[in-house]
Amino acid sequence: MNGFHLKVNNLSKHFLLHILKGKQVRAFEGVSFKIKPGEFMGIAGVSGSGKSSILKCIYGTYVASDGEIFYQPEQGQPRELTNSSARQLARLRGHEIGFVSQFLHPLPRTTTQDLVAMPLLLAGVAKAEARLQAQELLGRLGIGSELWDGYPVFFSGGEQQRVNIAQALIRRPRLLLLDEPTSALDSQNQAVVVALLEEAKAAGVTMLGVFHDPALLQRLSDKVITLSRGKQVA
Amino acid sequence: MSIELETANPDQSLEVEAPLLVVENLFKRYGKGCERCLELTGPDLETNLCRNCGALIACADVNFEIYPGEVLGVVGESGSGKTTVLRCLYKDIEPTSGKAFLQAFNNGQTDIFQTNSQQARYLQDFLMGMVRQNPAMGLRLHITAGGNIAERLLAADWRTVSEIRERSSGLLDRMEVPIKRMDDFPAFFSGGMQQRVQIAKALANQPVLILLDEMTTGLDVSVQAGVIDLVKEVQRESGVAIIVVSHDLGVIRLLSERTLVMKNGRIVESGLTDQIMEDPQHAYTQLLVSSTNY
Repeated sequence: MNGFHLKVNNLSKHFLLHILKGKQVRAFEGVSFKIKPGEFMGIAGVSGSGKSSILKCIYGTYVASDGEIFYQPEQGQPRELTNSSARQLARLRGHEIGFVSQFLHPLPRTTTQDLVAMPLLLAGVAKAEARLQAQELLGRLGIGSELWDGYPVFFSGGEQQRVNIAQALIRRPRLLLLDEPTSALDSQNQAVVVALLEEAKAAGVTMLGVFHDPALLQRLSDKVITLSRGKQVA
Repeated sequence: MSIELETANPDQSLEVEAPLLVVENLFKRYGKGCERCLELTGPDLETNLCRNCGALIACADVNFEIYPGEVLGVVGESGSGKTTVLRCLYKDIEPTSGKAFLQAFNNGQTDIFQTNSQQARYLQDFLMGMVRQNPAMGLRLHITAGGNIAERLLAADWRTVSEIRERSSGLLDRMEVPIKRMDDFPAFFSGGMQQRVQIAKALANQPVLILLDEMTTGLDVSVQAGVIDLVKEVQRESGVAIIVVSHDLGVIRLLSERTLVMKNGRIVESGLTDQIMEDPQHAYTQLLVSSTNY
């Protein structure tokens, strides 16, 4: 891997929609890039250019149509993700690769603080300690204590996004994929998220982020690739 | 006591470990069968019935694995074969052919479909648990809730009455069944509470694998949410492996990490649950996912 954390070679994704009589829709094609450990790479492009699809191919939510994704885990040999089994991909999620989605996925009967604490609980951290961590992070993101026992499904879009970010950052993965996580945030809250991301970066987290806000992209990224209509133009 | 959070991962190894259960070529046919049965049935032909001999192919070519601590979803509509698979595993019915190996049963060396009745009872009483869609099929409605669990513990060689009672009440409490109802008959419980007693019963003997067969079908949405939430918590705490069978994608999405999609007795697609939901590859999966409304 020559010291790279992630190497993407000529990656392509198209969708074959059987229910639309075999219609093919191209998400992106021929995308290549390399990221070093601790680097922040941004993906720029207008809506529909294929940015999120790249992240989802890496995470395994989408099945890549062509190309290769090489990932260097903490220990052991590099993995080629497009050829990994579902179980292997599941094992990489969590500690190795994390994903911040655009929208929060609430769980039934799960309070805000328990939702944010979930990654820690899954890692074996005791409930009380996990909750404390969650509360601290929620506090920093401006979600006050009166909301910690609330159900996020009732929150505003911006509040939900902040809960989502807290959940994604509470247990730092080695590679974090960010899919427009700040789109619903005002500038004050964005600034808090930027600070959190910069802390994660300082702690060595490698990041690949899609942001539609060019200023934010410039602020956070060490380098940027740009997509236009599914092709890498820069 | 401080914890290194970034490394507080009890499961450091990334190599895929040995599976807990391996199912090979599971095949269940009702009827005599002929050489054309497989060719004349399946998802492309949209039928389970062989038009040559009239046999019903409930499931065929079923191959899958489940890993320790994993939750595997199996989704499909009526006739997909998903319940047949569970019933074969739990030894309710006998498969026509196929093999299955459970790591906890003789170190995975013995085909669980080829056991004698004593071994079969051992599998059911010590190693596996089952929750059925209809509580009347999974519980004795006219013995007490506590009694239902005690019966299962006795089958698993528990002998001390006080310990049995303590475990039963602990489990029911964990399933949010009020202690004062422990000595009532499940016949008088609501559907949701009956299911929770079933789950408590399935967990009683600390099995390595639990089979959930349409566990929430027929329950009100809010009750469903409660049951699902409990199952998730208990699974997290105990690390038990679970196979969740449901026709409801919402339930599958909430519980399982990997999912199998079945149609007309065959597996048509398998993968990570979010991949199945967001990038379904097979035509039937695409149809299923586009038919949901959440």
